Amino acid sequence: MTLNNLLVDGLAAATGLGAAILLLNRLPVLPTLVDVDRTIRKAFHVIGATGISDHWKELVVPRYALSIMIGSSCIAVYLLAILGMFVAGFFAAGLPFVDTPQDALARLLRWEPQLMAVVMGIFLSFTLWRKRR
Amino acid sequence: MRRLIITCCALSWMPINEAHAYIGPGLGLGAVGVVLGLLLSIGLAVLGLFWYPAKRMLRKYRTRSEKDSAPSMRPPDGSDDAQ
Repeated sequence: MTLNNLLVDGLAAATGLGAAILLLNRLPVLPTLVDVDRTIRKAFHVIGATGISDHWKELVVPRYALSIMIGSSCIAVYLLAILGMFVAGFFAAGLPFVDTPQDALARLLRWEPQLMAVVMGIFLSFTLWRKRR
Repeated sequence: MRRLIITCCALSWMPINEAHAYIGPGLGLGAVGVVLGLLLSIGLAVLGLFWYPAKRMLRKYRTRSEKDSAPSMRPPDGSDDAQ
């Protein structure tokens, strides 16, 4: 592992993270999560309530189930899109420095760029959190 | 038990390739959350679509059988004053 390789890994990880964060800021991940959480709480409240009739529960619980399923599927799609954006950014930034596209993808699977991405991600999220406060 | 040990020994001698299936902590937690949400929604759907109708049918069956087994409280002239 040379310094040159480490620099390329860092650049690729930073580009991938930047692209992923750009997408994360545009996608409604947090509102969807809040919505799913609220629906789950409502569903458990309705199921446990003794004052609500079984007839009403029979009508309402499948709707809650559908809402939770749609919300969970949306979150899965968002996560996959964010992962895809990270991989695409990493691949695009690392491509000029390697011989073949397979090498750029193989670089992503090593532990050094993964560790760099995690450290950079924690640093970025902490910086953004402090900026918002 | 002996068969299990032999199977484990046989499996341990098989060639293993790298899985390339690493999931990071963020995506891993997200994936776990999504799976839990989907399982919960399936459970709720089963509850709403099967359990409550079954419960209603059981209750109806029980009340009907209780009515059938109870002695008739109607007056001999046939008018239903209890309602």
